[in-house]
Amino acid sequence: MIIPTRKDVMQKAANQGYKIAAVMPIHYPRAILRACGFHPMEVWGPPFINNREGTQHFPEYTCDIVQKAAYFLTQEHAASIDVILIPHTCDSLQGMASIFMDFIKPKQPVLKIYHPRSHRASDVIYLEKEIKVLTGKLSEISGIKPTDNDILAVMEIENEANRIFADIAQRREDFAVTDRTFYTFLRSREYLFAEQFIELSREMPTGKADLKGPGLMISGIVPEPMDLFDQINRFGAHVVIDDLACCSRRIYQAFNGDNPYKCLAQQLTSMPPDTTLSAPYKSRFEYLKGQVRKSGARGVLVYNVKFCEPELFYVPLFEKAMKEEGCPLLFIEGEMSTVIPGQVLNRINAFVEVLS
Amino acid sequence: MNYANMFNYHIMSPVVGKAVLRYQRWQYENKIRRSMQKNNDKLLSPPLLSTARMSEMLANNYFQGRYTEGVKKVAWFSSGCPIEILQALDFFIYTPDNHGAMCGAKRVAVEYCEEAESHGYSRDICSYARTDIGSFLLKKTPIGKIPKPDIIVVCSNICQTIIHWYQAMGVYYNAPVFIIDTPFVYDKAEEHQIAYVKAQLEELIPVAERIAGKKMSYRRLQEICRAGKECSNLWMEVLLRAKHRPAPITGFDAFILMGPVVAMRGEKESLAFYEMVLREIDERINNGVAAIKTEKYRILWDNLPIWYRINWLSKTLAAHGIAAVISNYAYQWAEPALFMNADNPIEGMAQAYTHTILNRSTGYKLQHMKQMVDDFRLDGVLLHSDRSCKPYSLGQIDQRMKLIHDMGISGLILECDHNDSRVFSEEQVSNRIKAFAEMLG
Ligand code: SF4
Ligand code: SF4
Repeated sequence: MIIPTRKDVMQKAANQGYKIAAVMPIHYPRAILRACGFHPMEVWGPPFINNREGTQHFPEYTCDIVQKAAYFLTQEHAASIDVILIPHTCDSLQGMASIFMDFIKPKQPVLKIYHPRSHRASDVIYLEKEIKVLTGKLSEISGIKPTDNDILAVMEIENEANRIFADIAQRREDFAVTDRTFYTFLRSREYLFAEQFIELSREMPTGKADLKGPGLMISGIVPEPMDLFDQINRFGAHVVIDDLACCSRRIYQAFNGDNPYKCLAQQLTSMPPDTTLSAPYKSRFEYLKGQVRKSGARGVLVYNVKFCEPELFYVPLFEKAMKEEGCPLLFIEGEMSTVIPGQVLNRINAFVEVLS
Repeated sequence: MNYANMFNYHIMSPVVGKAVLRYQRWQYENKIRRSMQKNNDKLLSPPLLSTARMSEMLANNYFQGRYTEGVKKVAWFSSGCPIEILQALDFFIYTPDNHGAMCGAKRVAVEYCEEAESHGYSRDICSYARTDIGSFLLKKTPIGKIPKPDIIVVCSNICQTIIHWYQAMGVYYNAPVFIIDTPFVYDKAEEHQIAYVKAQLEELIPVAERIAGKKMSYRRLQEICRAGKECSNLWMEVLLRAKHRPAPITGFDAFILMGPVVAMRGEKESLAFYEMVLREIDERINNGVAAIKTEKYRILWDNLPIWYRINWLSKTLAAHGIAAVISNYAYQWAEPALFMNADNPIEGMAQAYTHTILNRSTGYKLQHMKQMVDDFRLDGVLLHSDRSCKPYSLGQIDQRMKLIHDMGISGLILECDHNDSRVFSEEQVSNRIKAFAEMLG
C-alpha cells in the first residue's frame, strides 16, 4: 500500500483545477469546500517545524499546533495555498484566526467556522446557517456557486469515505499491518481526495493483525511523531482503539435529505463526544468506557500536546472514569516534534510493563 | 423544607448577620477615615469609603448563600453570563469567578490550586478554575460555605475554558449544566449568530422555570433588564470619571469595586451602591484628590488583574509616577449598557452578551485600546500576559506593536498570572516596570 504524499495530492488537485484550502483542526464541512472548488489539506502542526518562529505573534504558552502552523502558513512554500480555514476549535485557534485576520494578514483570505456548543436543538439550526455563510465566502473566492444538488453529489462520495474510515477505525484487529501503518492510513484522510482514500482502503491488508501484549486505547489530539506507534509496539503493547481528535473523534454519520446544509449541520453535531466541542463529561466518559469494553483495551494512553486546555480539563475525571472500568490511564504531555524524549519513552515502557 | 435554614436565611441573615456586617463596615469606614485624616501615604490616596460598603454587600450575599439549601434555588453563573432570566425567577445567584478572584486577592488561591493539581489538573489550565476546583476538593473557602447549585449556567462569551471548568463542577456537584454559547465575533455579529443566542435564551426559560418551580414573569424580566442596564450605565460613569486629570480612581480601584456589577447587577442595592461611588468620586474631583498622588504618566491596564498583588503593583507603579487609570477588563461590565433593551429583553440580552470585549476579535480589542488612549489621554499601555488566560492574552504581542507604532505611546508586556502567585517574580516585575517608566519618561 503506497500512500500518496501531500505533494502528490497537491499536484493532482492542481491538475484537476482545484484550489487548495489549508484547514486547521478539527471539524469542518469537507463537502462544501470540494463543491466550491477547493481541496482541503489539513494542517496539524506540522511537527517537523522546529523553530519557534510562531512566538513572534503568540506567547510561548500557546500550543505547538498553533505556533508551528502560524509559522508554516506564512512561509514562501505556502504560496500555493488559496485560502486558510480556521475552525473555532478552542480558545487558541480562536486567537490564531483573529490574529491572522487582524494582524498577520497573509496573502490568502482567512475564513472561520464557529462550531456550536450548546448541545441542544438550536445547534443544528445555527450551524446550517453558519455553513451557508462559509459557502458564500468560498464561492466568492473561487467563483463557483454550487447548487444543492452539486453539494449532495459531493457529499455522497465524502460520506462513502467517512463510512469506510469509521469502519476501519473500529476494526483495528482485522488488518494485518503495524499500528503505525494503520494510523498513517487513517490520517491520510487529512489530505487525500475521498476517492483516493476509498481506493487505498481496498489495499489495506486484511487478516489477523500480529498484535502482541496488552492492547491500549490512545487518546489525545494528534499522535505526533508517528514513531510513537513503533515505540509502543517495541515495548510489547499495541493499540486496539483510538480516541484521537484526528481519527476516531471524526467518525461522521451520514444524514440524508434534500437540504445539504442541514444534513452537514446534523453530521457535524453528531460525532463521538469531543473535548474541543465541550462534550458533556458524562456522555464522553460513558462513550469511552464503551469503547474500552468493546475493544478490550487494558490501558489508556493520553498523549497530549502541551498547553492544550480542552484536553487537560478532561484528564482527571477521565482517569477516574477509567479506574472505575479497571483500566489504568497514563497521561503524557509534550511538545510536538520529530523525536520523542527519552523520559517519555521510559514512562510508556513502565506503563506497558505494569499492564503486562 | 429546611426550617433551620429558613430561619437563618430569613431572620438570622437579614437581622443579626446584617447588624454584624454593618458594624464591620463601620469599623472599616473609620479606618479609612483615619487614614484620610493622617494622609501620610506619599503615593496612594486611601481607598474610597464605598469600598467598605461593597465588602458589606458581598459579605452579606455570601452569608445568605450559606443558608439557601431548602430555602431558595441556587444558580451558578459565569461572570459574563446573562443573569437576568434567573434573577427574574428569584434564584440565589452565585458566581464562581468572583469566588476565584476573591481567593486570589485573599492569597489562598495557591493552596487551592495545589490541591486541584494533586488531583491531576494541570498547572497550564486557568488558575481560577484550579482555585475553584481545589476549593471544592479541599472543602475550604474564605466565604464559609459555597451554596450548592441547582443549575449551573455558563456562557462561552469570555472563553471556552470556562465551559470545561463549569462542566467539571457540574460533575462534582451532580448539577445540570446549561451552556449559553455565543459565537465569537470576528468582525461584527452576524444575524444567525444573534438568532442562535436568542434561541438559547428562550430554551433556558422553561428549564429554569422547571427548576425554580414557577413561571417567569415577563414584566419582571423587563424590570431587571432595565435595572441591569442602569447599573452598567452607572458603572460606565464610574470608569469614565478617570478621564479627569489627576484621576480620582484607577483601574485597580475598578477591580475592587466591580463585584456588584458582575454578580448583582439588576439589584436595587447595586444601583444605590454605584450612585454612592459616583458621589464620592465627584467629591474627590471637586477637592482635587488624586488616587495616585504622584500621577505623572497615565496608562491603561490590559487584561485581568494580578489579584494577589494589586496593592503592591499600585505602589510600585506610583513610585515611578505611573497611574493605571483605566482597565479594559473592568470595562467589560459597562458594555451591556449599550445593548440592553427592556422593551425587547431577549434581543437585548443576545446582543449585549455576544458583544462582550472578550468575545471580540484581537483587532477590535486594539481599536478599543486606541480609543481609550485618546479618551483618557494615556501615555502607555501595560499588557498583562496572563499565562493561564489564553483567550485574553492572545493578540497582545501584535496589539503592543501597533499601539507603539500607530499611537506613539509606550507598551510593556508583563508575564504573570491572575491567581497563581507561583509564577510571579517580584524582582523581575519591578525591573520591567522600572524600564517601562524610563520609556514613558
Ligand atoms: S492542540 Fe488543543 S489547544 Fe492546540 S489547537 Fe488543538 S485543540 Fe487547540
Ligand atoms: S481562561 Fe481567562 S477568561 Fe476564561 S475563565 Fe479563566 S481567567 Fe476567565
